[in-house]
Amino acid sequence: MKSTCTLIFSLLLIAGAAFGQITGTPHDLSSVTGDSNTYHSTNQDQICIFCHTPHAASATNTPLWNRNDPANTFQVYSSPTMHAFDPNGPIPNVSGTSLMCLSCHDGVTALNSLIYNGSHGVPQMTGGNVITGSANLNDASGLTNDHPVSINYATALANGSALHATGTLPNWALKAGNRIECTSCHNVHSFGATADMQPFLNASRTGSALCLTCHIK
Amino acid sequence: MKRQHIGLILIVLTLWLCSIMAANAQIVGTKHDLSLSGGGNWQGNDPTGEVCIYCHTPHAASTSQKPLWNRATTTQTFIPYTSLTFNGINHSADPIGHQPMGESKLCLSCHDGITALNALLHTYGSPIPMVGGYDQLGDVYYPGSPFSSGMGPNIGENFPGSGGTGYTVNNLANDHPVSFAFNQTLITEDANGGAPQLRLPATGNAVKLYGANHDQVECSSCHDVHSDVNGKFLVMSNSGSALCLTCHIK
Repeated sequence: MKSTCTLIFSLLLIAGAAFGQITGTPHDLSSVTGDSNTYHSTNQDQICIFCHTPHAASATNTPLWNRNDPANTFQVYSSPTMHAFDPNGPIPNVSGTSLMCLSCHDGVTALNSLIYNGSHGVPQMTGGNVITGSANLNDASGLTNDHPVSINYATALANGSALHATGTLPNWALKAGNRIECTSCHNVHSFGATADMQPFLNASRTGSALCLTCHIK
Repeated sequence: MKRQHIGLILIVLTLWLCSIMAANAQIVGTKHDLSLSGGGNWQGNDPTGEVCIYCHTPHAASTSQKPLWNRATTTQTFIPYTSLTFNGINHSADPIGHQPMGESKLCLSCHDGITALNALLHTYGSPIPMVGGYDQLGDVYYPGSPFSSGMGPNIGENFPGSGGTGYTVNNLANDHPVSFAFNQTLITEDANGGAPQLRLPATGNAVKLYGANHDQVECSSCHDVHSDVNGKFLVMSNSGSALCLTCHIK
């Protein structure tokens, strides 16, 4: 009986990995299954709570969002060959869902800064409470050395960028309003079963397939 | 009989599709594709087979060069092209002699012959080793080189038979000049009171000028790094020297 249970449990674990779930990935900040990560909690065993809450969630962000947007604005990427916004207008800042990612990855906002903490109280963190290193996208150069987000793909296309037509893209590539956001490339819940799908990618890096989903090069 | 016809039609259709795909071929499979399935002698031993990474990265890119540039900058000081009939160099404000700038500097971060092809700013995990350890385009002229000699991709070389001697990495004296202003001033000066010998490429022409004033000749004026459909990554066919004659009235 015990061995049967173990077998079933093992199979469930394997299935979980195969379906690419968040458990045990670097996005799992919990004290139990996330304890092999650089940043994790010592007292909060829940995984979802670091981003979501079933009650008392954000009034502005969905789905059931449990984090506050970063307070700061960001220095963003621009280039003479990028046509995603009006060259005579102001450079748009990060907005929408990408801000939600930056509420951890801005290198400033505390990982345990949640709207609702639940019965365990404020999560106690080990390994640091602010992201540093390569996962901090808002490094000394801000976002100026990172692929632009919160930009309008259709605008870029209309202005002559070498991009595939909007209708030909897979459904994960463009977000609301034909925008490119962090989630255009990244799947926050799935680390990637194989190296080419990591970190948290929507398509394989093999042959730069992810890049070539949009870019005609 | 009918089935044979359908088979034939299918074959023709397939061939036609293949030819269309070849005509639209982009960087994948060309010599600028440094992955293991790339088309050149130099290949990165990266099982993931990324293509874009040798020049671009989505994060932690260069803070000084675009677009999302992933390469170390060449540290060479280059010997520029000079000629009694070439006035372009006079327009350079460059204090250390006419050095490649702008887009051309990006190209030379491989094509100077000495900067390592795998000298990247950002990779996933460990650096990408090059197959056989051949990590410089200059490997082509090293003694015992496994690559055939001849006109290679090392633009900084002394081409055998050109009069230059010895292996070098910074010699652009035998290459068409880049990073100079090509404008009406130069055309007038070049004409020296006679008929113009130069003309600006028309708007929309495949030949483009670069820089803030859109008047700089750079490597990209003649070459399209991402597409080899015209051979030698040219921006247009050079049949009948059409590319040269875009600017040169000869």
